[in-house]
Amino acid sequence: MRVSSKLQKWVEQGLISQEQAEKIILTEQSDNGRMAWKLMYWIAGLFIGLGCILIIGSNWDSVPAFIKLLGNFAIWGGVLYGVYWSIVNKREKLKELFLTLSFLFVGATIGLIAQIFNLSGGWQSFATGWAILSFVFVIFSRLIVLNIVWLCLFFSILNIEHFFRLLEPFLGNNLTMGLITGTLLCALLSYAGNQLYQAVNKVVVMPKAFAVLSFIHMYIVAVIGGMAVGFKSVFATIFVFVFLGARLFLAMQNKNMKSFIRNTHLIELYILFLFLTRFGNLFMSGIGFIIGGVLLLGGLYLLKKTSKYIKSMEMFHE
Amino acid sequence: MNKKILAVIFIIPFISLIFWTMWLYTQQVTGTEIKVAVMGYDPRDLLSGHYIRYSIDWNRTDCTQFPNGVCPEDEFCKDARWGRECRFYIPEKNARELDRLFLKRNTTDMVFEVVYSYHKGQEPLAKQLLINGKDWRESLEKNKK
Repeated sequence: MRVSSKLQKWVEQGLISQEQAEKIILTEQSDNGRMAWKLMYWIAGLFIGLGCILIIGSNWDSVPAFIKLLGNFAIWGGVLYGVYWSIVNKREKLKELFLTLSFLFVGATIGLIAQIFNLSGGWQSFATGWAILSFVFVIFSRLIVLNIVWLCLFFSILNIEHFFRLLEPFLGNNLTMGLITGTLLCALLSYAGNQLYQAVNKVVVMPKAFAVLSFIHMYIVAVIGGMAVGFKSVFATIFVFVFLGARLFLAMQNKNMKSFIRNTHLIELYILFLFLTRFGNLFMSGIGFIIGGVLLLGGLYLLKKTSKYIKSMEMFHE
Repeated sequence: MNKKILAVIFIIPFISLIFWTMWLYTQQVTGTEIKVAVMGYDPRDLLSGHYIRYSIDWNRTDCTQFPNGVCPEDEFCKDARWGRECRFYIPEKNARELDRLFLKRNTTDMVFEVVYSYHKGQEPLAKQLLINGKDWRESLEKNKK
């Protein structure tokens, strides 16, 4: 049950006053808002980290393999010390940052080794190694997003084993499609689990986190699926803009400020991802991710400004 | 949690990958060099980087290089999926040129081969890509001129 519904029920039962209920809702909304902003900052950091790793792994012919490996292990070693230090010294935010970087470094290192020794293993071998070796960093992290990313990685292994062979002629054997199909499978499982949770909610107490996971899963599906399929198609782009434009129009008609802000933000994010897809190869993807991360940080500032501006618009204050 | 246990837990993935690298390096350095002819080509540029995806042309490979004169077809590219394509990673900046050169092989007499480091019973590691018996970089340079 949603907090607002619960509070309404408590007001009706006379447990709390209407005024108290409104104050609780405002506090809840403020907390959720802060969490969303934190998440965006984390994504910006993730983009920049991914960008650096992509550039490292972009097969620089001029750098000898030994130096590349040494540099990779030296930086990762430093990051690992950072994980240890931040846990021992109870520095929560730094701990999450170092754990995320370590998680990425496992994948980047496997990729680099595969590149240097010309290993022929496909996505499944890569994802299996990455998922197993990075598990320790994920269980120590309290970031739900990192857990979701790991789950996607893990499910993509099972997915590829059973479904990918059938899909290969249509999709091709590549990381992007592996990730998408893996994520879709995750989302389907989460959705099924969520439905089950709803059905047996009164009988069995299941962790609330599962429902939250499902929601974030769907978001990831939308973003990754959109990036891989939607952004490449002109019709999809037009559809998204028409759809979001219609939502903006309806929000204006209904004087729904929240909906207007949400859809404005979606358009801004869509443009950002559209920009990221312009970068084709590994090196340029790295550059793109770094610029994207920096832009996202700038975008966060813009989003806050946009919200402030929309809130001050006269049509919402009649 | 005990600090030592914590340190050990975090160091396991790191050490594992260092050992794997060392093992691969030993395999690459100590193996017998053999040459196989290759066919099929598919450059990719996703997150894995640019690589040549090829399959081995056993009909054009000299099997006398191997013990008992038999080509150990099952030992090559064991981990590759979907039709056993092997990989050879190349720098992104040369991918297009190499692609063009490979497409020309039908009209010219160019021979593409890969040098492997071979240990009996273990998966061989690709070391070098040859075009007409020369390193691919050299051939690319020559082709430019």
